[in-house]
Order: sequence, then C-alpha cells, then structure tokens
Amino acid sequence: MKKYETLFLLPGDVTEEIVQDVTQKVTRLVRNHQGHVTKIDDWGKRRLAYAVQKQSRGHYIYVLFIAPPDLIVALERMMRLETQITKFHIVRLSELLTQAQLDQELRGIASAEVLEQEVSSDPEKAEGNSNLPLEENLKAVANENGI
Amino acid sequence: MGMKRRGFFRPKTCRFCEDKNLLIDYKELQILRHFVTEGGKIVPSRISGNCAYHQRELAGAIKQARVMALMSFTSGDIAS
Repeated sequence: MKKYETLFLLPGDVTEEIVQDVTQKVTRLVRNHQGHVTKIDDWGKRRLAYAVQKQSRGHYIYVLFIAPPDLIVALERMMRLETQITKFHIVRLSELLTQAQLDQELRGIASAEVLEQEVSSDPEKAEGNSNLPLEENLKAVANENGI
Repeated sequence: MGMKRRGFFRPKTCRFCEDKNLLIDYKELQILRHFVTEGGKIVPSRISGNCAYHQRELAGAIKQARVMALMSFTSGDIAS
C-alpha cells in the first residue's frame, strides 16, 4: 500500500449530482482494490488559467488515498474514459508502507472521522478548514495527514 | 575592456534551502507564483537564487500546475 493523491477537474458547468457521482466512482474504485480513502477535498469551481473544453471555470476535486499500486492503472484508465473528467493528476506520496505504518495511517483516518463527528455537532467548530484560503487549507490537509 | 559587465547579481541563497518548511508542491500556487514572470515564464535560478536541486523541483511543480490549469503556460493564455 502506498499513499497517493489525485486532483481531477470537471467542466465548470457540472451539477452537484455529477460531482458526487464522479467522486463516488473514484472512491468506489479505490475501495474495490482494498484501498482506503483518506480525504476528499472539493475545491469547488475555480477560474482556470486557460480555457479547458472552451470553459474558463472548472470544478476541482482532490482525493487523498492509500492503496496498492495496481489500483493506479485501473484508476487512470477509468479517468481517461470518464467523459466528465477533463484533467487529472495522480501523485505518489510515499513508498510502500509497512504494516505498522499502514496501521498508523488507518488510525489517523479513524480519529479524523471521529473528529469530524465532533466538529459537525459543534456549530462553532464546524467551519473547519473550508473557509481558509486555499494555501492554508491545503497545509491543514497536509498536516492532518502527517505529510 | 570590461565594459560589458552587466548582470543581475544574485548571490542570494536558495529560499528553499533556507526554510525547510517551504513546501514545493504543484498545489502551492502562492509560492509558485513568485518564481514565474509576468508572462508566465519560469524564472531562471541565476535570478531567483535557487539551488539546482530546488530549481528542478520547482520547475517540475510549475509544469504540473500548468497541466492542471492551475497556472498558465503563457500570458496569452488568459481564459476567455
């Protein structure tokens, strides 16, 4: 199992439904390969640096996951075939994890989920990371995941 | 003799070597933007003062960001 992240781009005019649909396709694929999804970060619509499929805005989704390497071929193929995914980028974040490291990661995920439960029940804390500027948001994501 | 002495002298140290916490990542646009010209071109290390290692990492990250439409390839790229 290795740590990966992927960032993919959907057209700017997608509906929330399609966003959910595509995200679920990705997470389902990860789980089918005995992987674990660590974090899903929906960057939402952003202005693109250049027109992609004739549009100036796009919807970015960022997913952090841990999976065996053979997932990647399947994931890439799926992303190329998926019409809604206009661009994608998969990055390997770690080498092969030992069982101990894997357990630690999974514990991290479990406690993050618990934390989320607490956060969502407390409206003050519920702002979480999403209102921070992007850079800090990303750093927060990175810190939470021990990168 | 030495009349053609010009040069933007950059004896500065590499920003990333100085501060190990500065992460070079294609997602860290705020940082990446410092190393790109107005026209979107990558700044050479003799100007930015980056060491070879970090300059390579930086260039790679900028190119990745460009592919993902997070940064432009050139100034003419402004999305319509």
